[in-house]
Amino acid sequence: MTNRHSESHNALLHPLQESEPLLERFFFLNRVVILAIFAALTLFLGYQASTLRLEASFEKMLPTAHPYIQNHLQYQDQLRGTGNAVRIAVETTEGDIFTHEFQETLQNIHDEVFFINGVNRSALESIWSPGVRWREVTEEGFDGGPVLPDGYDGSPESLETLRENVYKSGQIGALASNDLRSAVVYAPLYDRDPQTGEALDYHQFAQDLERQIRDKYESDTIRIHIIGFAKLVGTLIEGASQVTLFFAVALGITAVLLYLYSRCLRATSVAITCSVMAVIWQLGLLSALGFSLDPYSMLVPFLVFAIGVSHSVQVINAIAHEAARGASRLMSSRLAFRSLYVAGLVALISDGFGFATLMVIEIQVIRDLAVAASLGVAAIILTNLIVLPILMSYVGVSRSSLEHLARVERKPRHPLWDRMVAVTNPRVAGITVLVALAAMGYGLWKQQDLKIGDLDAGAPELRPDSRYNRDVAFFGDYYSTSTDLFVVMVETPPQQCADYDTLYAIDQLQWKLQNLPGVQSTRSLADFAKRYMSASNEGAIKWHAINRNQRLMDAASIQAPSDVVNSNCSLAPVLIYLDDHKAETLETVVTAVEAFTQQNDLDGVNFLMASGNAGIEAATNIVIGDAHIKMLIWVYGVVILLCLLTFRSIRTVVCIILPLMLTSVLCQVLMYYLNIGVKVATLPVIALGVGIGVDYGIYIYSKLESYLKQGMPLRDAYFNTLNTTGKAVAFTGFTLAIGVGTWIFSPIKFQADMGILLAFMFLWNMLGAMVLMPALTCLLMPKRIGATGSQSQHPSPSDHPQSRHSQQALQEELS
Amino acid sequence: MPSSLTEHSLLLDVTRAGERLIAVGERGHILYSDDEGKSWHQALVPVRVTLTAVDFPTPRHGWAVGHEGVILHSEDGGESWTKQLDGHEVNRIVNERARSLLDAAEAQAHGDERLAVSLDDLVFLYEESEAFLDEGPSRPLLDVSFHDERTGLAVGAFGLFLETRDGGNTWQSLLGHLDNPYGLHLNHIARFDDTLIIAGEAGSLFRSWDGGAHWETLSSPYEGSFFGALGDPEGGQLFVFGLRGHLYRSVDKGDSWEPIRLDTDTTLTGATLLADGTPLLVGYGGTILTGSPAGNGFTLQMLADRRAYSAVTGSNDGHLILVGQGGVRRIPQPASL
Repeated sequence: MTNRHSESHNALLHPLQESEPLLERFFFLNRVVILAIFAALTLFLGYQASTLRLEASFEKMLPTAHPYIQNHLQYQDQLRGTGNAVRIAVETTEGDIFTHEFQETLQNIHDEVFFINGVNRSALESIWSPGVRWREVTEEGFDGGPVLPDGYDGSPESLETLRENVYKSGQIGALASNDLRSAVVYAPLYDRDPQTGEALDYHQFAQDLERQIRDKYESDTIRIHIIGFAKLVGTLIEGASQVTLFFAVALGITAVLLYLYSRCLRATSVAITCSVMAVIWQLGLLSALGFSLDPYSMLVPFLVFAIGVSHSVQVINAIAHEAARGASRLMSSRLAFRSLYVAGLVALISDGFGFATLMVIEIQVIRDLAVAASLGVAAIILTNLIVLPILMSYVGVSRSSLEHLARVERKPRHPLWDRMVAVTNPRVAGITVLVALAAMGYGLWKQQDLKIGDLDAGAPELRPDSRYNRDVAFFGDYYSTSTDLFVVMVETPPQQCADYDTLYAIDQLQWKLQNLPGVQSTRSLADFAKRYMSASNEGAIKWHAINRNQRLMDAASIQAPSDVVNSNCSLAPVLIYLDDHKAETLETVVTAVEAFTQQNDLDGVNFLMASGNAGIEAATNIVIGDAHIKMLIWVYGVVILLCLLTFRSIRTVVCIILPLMLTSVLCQVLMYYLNIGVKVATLPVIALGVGIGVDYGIYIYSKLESYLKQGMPLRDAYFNTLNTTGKAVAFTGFTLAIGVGTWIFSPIKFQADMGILLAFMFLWNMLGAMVLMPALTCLLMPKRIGATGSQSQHPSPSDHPQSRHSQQALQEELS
Repeated sequence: MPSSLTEHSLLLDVTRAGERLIAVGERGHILYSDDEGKSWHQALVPVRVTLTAVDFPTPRHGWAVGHEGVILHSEDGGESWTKQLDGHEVNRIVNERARSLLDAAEAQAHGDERLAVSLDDLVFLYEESEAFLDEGPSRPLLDVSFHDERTGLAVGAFGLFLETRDGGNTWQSLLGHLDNPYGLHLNHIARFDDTLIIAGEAGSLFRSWDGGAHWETLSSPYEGSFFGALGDPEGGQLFVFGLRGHLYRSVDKGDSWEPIRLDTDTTLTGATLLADGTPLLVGYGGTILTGSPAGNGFTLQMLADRRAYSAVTGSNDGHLILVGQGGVRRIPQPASL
């Protein structure tokens, strides 16, 4: 046993430490076998990883345990209004849609869309579908015909008839824009590919749309706008695929930085190899366990790579130090393994636990993220704590690198470290802590203004200025139905959806909702019943009301379109179109519906929330709002417990945890200023940030403590810590920040948000560990600082009795 | 529920009560305006059913009618309203009336001298009134017209025809007074001096010379429905109008009709006489028709909003107050020809 071990006051870690020589002997005496096994595993998992599917499943983003989502899942098959369709607007920049040229283009597009795989051809609608008709009331009853006049020939007369028919069809705002400068091809989709029977490939479908419609028909005078769930998913998957490029960028930058740091090509390649190996393992394990990659868990390989590199740096740093002192390749690797095994394991385990706390959130993508990240951390334990030192024991650290290291360490002073050491001065420490506390107070105050949910218009997954969201905005400006749909499902006994009392209640609910700020319009069976009454009385506007004659109401329900009633008349969805999906808007709707249901108790009739994209988001916001606090409690609870178990001192825990908390709080301030809400994408960020951030604290504090125990005054202990672990930690902070920072350029908004916030957290946690933690140590543990103060000189690492001792021990053991 | 949205939701009739404008519509909404329709206030109303018509014979006393047979009364110029009658009572009144007519006819006693229907018809009407008792208050009232603050008439679906002589405290059914055995909808009551005209479904037209005591059936120029009629005593002309742009004029109080050709086939729903005596009609699809001084020609204007309008009245400051789909709209009066 080394001195350090026997000195340790930590009983809990003893079993680990005692197992160390055993494990060390096992790994280092069977190097070839172990490397062969790992190589084989990597090949196998690499093959597995190559079969991993990239998916964007919206179901997985739902908080499935929430009652609103349960209601949604129960009825989603019967909700046609929320069905899966794309809308393609063909816009002319010259005049209106009633020109021969425009109609020709529209016809061509209609025909092209007809043949795109996945389109439900019988339900395809545009001015050019024979099924789209105008209707009017005559003396004999109803009259009507296709909107496109029989014998249409593009002549001015037939165009004029077409114009009249469009007016009479009631399609303005639906298939023709309010300003008559664009027209829509509405294409409902099959859920399953009609050719293969498999789930429809949205990526392929979206590409077909781009190639066969947008690329082909967009011109100086024609613009194409496409929206719809399938297009959104296609765009997401395409955006996510681009992100794989970022991985290459992050890898390249990291390699360069690592080389600049170590000045050793061999060590750099080994570190990168092992970290990539960890990523391959993580992806392979995911695939083998039946998971797929989604735009959220795509973050994980970046994290795993960055964490891998950061641990590699610690190990290589240690190997170089040992090698600089003259140990052989094998010996320096063994020594490094021995000295970092425990700290590395504790740090990685706390990462893993930090990630695992995400499991408390009942949203599948976040759980998948937690699983993926925990698998990744497990992989790093093997690849970077075991394989890396073994590989290094063969290749060693280059001579030039060792000289570089020696040069650096010979320098008695370091410009940056010297300045940073000032925080161990009680006055400076006091000021530092005060500033930190003030920042924390400010953050906590601002935190109240933090918004839940998505704050931008359009599809929240994409950037507001993305092509897709510009198309959404186009529809919002020129068509009558918003894309933010909240659905209240009115559940009744079968065949009773059109009961007068039910329709009356629905009508009252609609009126109440229409009066809310943010509600654009509503639509329901009650509206249709009114139109039906009017239509069956020669279109008389005074009959536009629901009627006490139950037979008429039942007849209306049979005629009603399928988006406001299901097939056996047991469900009457109320479709609520909103201005936006901001959290306040959704909350107002939810509160109003809740209040309404409490006041209106109809026997056997239930007003169920919520479906539609906005309804789902409302439920998600509620879950996220609850989970936000719950997750913070869990992640901090776990990390505090781990630190307590490791260090057995409340003061130490305060020193490590307080900087992390400051970062978490400031991260929320940043979110506030960047207008990023707490949502599925940003919720995991704090857990990930804390999980990884605690590494820095653990590494730095354990090093600092070991120097303090040697009797060094705080100032010197801190200087030495900075010079050894501190350097590695600083490097790690930057590496991690770069790894996730590349995400800022992702076309997918939530990935960019995650990138910004994680990069901020990694950097700030690093600063916290390097500046605030020693300041806190100085204030909280004056006794440990010792009386010697600042007069002692900086000892070089080679003076460590511990190192010398362990070197001797190792040599004895090897001989 | 008080709401600024009422101005933009379906309104079906508008009228003048002295200096005030009053509009009624969907969900029991009643609005009044004291500044010629620039701003509107919401009245207190005890019902939420759709109201179809409103009439103020005096600036303070007015009546509104609507779906489910509701009749409302206001004594304060339309600010607050009380319910005088609902569809259950309407069904009962009609049923009792049918019963007593039938009893009288069966007893071969001297029938009501005003009666215009046969015994067979009476049996049918009685059976129908029984059926409505079961069905509930499903019949809307579609128009109301008061001669003064005591005497008034209300008409509605399936031949509903009610009368009051005591300011609405009691209402009587006038079942049998019109030759309307099939219960055609009665859509509108118009006044032309002492002459009353009722216009209804399938071209039905009825006239009374004596303020409603006796009614005769006019020969109709049209088999489609009429939704309105407009009397212009000064011009000595009477208009009826309805489905698909059908407009007819009579210069002999309804004895004979001449069609007026229009450039539109949209349904016409409401009409008013402007301050200068110009007749003006509104209809679906944003249709506005302004009459010529001679009365035999109309100028067509289609509002860009293409909304279906239900009624119109002129303001005292040269504007039109239109109500219909999308609520109330105030636009400058078109220049008359």
